[in-house]
Amino acid sequence: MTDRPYVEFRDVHVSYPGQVQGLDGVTLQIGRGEFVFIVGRTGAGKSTLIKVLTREVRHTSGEVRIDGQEVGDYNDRTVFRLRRQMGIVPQDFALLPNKRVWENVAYAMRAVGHTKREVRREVPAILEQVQIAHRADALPHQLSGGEQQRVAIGRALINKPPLLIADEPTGNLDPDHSAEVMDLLVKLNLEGMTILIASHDMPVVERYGRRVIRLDHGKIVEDSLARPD
Amino acid sequence: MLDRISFILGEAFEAIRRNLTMTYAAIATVALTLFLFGGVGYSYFHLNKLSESLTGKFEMRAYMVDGAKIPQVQATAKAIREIPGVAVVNWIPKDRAWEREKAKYKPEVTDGIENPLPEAFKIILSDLKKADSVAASVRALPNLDPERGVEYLRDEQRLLEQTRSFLNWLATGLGGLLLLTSGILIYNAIRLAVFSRRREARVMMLVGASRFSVRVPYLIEGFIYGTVGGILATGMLYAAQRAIESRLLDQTAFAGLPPFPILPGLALLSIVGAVYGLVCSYIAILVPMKP
Repeated sequence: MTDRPYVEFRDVHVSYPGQVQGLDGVTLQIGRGEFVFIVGRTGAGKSTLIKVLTREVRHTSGEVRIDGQEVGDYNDRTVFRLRRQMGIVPQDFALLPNKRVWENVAYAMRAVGHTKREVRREVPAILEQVQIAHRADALPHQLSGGEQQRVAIGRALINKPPLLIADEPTGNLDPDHSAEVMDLLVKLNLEGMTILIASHDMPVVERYGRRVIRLDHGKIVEDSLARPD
Repeated sequence: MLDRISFILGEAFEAIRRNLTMTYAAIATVALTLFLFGGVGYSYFHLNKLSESLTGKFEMRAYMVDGAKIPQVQATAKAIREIPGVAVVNWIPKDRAWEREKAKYKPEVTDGIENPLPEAFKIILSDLKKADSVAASVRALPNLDPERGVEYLRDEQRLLEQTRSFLNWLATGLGGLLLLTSGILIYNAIRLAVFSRRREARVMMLVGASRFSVRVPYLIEGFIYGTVGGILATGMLYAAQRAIESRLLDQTAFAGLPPFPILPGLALLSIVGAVYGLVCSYIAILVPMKP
């Protein structure tokens, strides 16, 4: 355990063409094992902040570090190494519609170089971990929104990442399924994973009482600590 | 390693399977393009060889004015040798030429006739294309007969040159157009494959698949289009050569075309097709595959 923040933004600016500011001087630190919500209205900069971390968007100035490594140092050839240090759960789940649940996870494993034998061994364990093993042979369209989200989370776990980033994980879910997904993310956090969630689902954010970073027009306007349990 | 190869090949063939119509179109156009290029190249190669062998047979005759003296003959021979495109200059003395002519006829036909032939030169060209310029330069020399001057097989030489320039035009014009069309078709086929597999590509990028793993299946796809096109073109060339040969043999006393070099042809056209397919597919994935 070190005192160094696991994720660190220092005076980060992101400018889009047309002088649109995605982020405007964002400075924040997230410790290893924290559970953080990034909230704000549409266009506040939540997705930009996440995309800077995943290096889908390059920051214009400032420093962005994950575990001490500057994200901007990764280029198009090496960015895959950064992405293997994190699990990414996109808002739309990005499941392959013609592949079964287990195949969705297996495909991702094969894409990052796991052998067939490793896939056979690890996929059932991952599906158990995200509590979807009973639907392993179902196609995505046969699953509820919450189940699809769990598959997406399972796929994000294939590299055993220390950081999980989820963009609006409850955005398309009803309250029951939102709770299922959030409980799963809390469980992963309790196992030691750093969780970073972009959300505008305020009832969920308030219910879980974790650290909340509020963005507005690309600036941090509030950073409230987690409620003590 | 084998596991990795099998995954990447599987991805490439999956992309082809989802895109069968474009696959057929791309392969057919590459095959047609390479067939045309191969056919023109093969004809051009043999025509060149033919024209090289004919160059020695294409000779010019230059005739001097009546009464030319030996020093004038020597000076003219020297001047002709210095003209670019001239390989050999032989002096044909008028007496020797007249003896040869007389030998062709009964003595009573030529008896009593004074030698009417002028001093002459046999000029052999080193470059058939320069025949006209050589003729003009020789004609401009002093002491050359203004009427007979220079004689050569201008029409035959022109026919050969016209055939060669037609083949050049065919290769650069029609061939270029087909090359462009096949390139666009391969590009489109790959772009469609990228589009139809955009979800897979996104998943690969999300989970940290290397750029190699994401891109190589599409490059393999282009490689396959080009290689298969090259193989088909070789088969088409072989069949075309056989068909033309048998038709010519049926209708004329033709001695036969030079045999089509099937193995070198296969190797050359497959490699050219493969490289072309790779280049087109690489261009096609440059923009949509940004991580």
